[in-house]
Amino acid sequence: MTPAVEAAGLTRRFGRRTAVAGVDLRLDGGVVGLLGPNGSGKTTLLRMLATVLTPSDGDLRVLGRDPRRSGERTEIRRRLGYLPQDPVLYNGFTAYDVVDYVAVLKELADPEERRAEVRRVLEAVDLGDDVHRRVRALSGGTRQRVAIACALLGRPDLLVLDEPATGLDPEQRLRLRALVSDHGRSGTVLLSTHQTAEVAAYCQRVVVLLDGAVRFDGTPEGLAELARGRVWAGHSDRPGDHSWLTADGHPRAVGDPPPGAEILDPTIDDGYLLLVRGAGSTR
Amino acid sequence: MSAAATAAPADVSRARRAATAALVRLEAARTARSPWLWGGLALTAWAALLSGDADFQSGRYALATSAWSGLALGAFLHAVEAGGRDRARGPLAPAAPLADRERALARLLGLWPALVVTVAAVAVAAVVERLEGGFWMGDGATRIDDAVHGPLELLQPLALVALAGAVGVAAGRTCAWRGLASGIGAVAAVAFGFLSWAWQWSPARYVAPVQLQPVEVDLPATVDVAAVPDGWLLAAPDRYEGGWRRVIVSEAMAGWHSAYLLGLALVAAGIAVRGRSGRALALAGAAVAVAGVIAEVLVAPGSPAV
Repeated sequence: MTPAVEAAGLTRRFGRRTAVAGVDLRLDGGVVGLLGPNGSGKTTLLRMLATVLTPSDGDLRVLGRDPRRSGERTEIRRRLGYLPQDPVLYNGFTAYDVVDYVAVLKELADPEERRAEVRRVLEAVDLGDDVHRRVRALSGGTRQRVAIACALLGRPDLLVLDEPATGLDPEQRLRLRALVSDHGRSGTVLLSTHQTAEVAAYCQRVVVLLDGAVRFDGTPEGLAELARGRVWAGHSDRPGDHSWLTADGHPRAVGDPPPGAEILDPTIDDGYLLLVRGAGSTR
Repeated sequence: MSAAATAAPADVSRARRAATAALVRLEAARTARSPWLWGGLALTAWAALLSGDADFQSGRYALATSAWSGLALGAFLHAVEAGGRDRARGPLAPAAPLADRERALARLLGLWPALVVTVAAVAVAAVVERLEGGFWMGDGATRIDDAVHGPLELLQPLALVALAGAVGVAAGRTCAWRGLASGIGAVAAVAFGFLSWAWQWSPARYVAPVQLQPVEVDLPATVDVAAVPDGWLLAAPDRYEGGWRRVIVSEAMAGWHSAYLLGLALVAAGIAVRGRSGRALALAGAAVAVAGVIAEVLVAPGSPAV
């Protein structure tokens, strides 16, 4: 079985700034969450995997092919779904027309087949009566669902989603979870997000990117386990520690616990915090 | 999971061709529904009606041609919009197999309904002017009132709309401000289209977007207008021209002017498509345009070659 993504030493520079620095990554299926703070290189990495940005250095194969070669790039694109961070939709088109147009761009040329596929993805994102409204009249969340529908067209083997939950309400997020996890059963989904709860909910694997490099690659439980023994009930003012009041009013702190502190079970949030804030050792 | 499926190259290019053809159909449907196009046709009809006020020899005959600038403007404005869709904020579905070149090609070929509308409108205009008996041309004893546009003259609106559409797609794809491109197009339509009579002097008439017929050739001041050969049409001295002129409709010149316009359309299409095939298209178009102008000069009334 060919891996969906094989990257070795993948690097992307913009002038003197290195956005992605020597990433090694192999994706073999399932739903993979990509976490990282703003500017950590998530979007740049996803754009390279989606074949819209050429790597500066390193080896990359997507769906067994080299995206740097024009012919192979087209073959990758035939089996790829990509949701950009800031998706472009034609404002003067109706939602249906946009998805129909993208279906053609994805080489669904047969009218009957295309109509059925467009209907399928529009139903999947539950667009309802909004399908016949112009894009410029749609809310941000609805526009995002149209863009997700576009990415789902053609049942791609690899689905690359850059912050897919942006603008979605809780009900729509649940629907997105179902869609993505369903897709992950037969293919590979790589999604970036700022929401650790999303990752914990339906990602089998999580990759944390920091300053363009992979700082963690494992299961969501493994990410949470990084904070094992370093989360306690209480408040801390020490530099490097993080503390806050939880929803039920109890203080919770992450860092180096004081002697005798009540140690709590860590969550994925705690593990992520330790990684990105550099609170102590992480591996 | 992701087993790498391999398709034969022939299947791959067939799929791409079929998808490009489907995209042309989508673009064509949008062209056919474009308010710009139908607004342009209405502008042409209005300008043609206004040309009825041109109460001087060849006035209505000439202005009937410049009226097509309205339809050309409509095609241009629609094409700017279509060509510039992926320009403003980046491309729709950037990782889709049909990339920039196919999209540009589809937007160019998807303008065919504008050409169909033009052909139909030209046909209607040709029938109407024949039913009405034609136009006044020539003064004095040489005056006729049944002048009608010939087939090669009727090609010009088609070439003009093709040029406007191709330039519109190229402008939409290259100009960051669609509003600016549309504004410049509108000004050009007025300056070189509706006011095309201002550009009918040699050598401007060979390269102006709209060429009006008939052409007037100055006669010597000593000419005896009563003794000119049979069939000559003459324009009398007026407040703009001090002497008699021979009035000639040159179908050949009109035909070559259309070839020149189509050459320019290919240049614009090449700019829109870009890449190696775009450059080849632009070069071929430039060659056609240059050949068209040279031929125009050679067949122009008054030319030493005629």
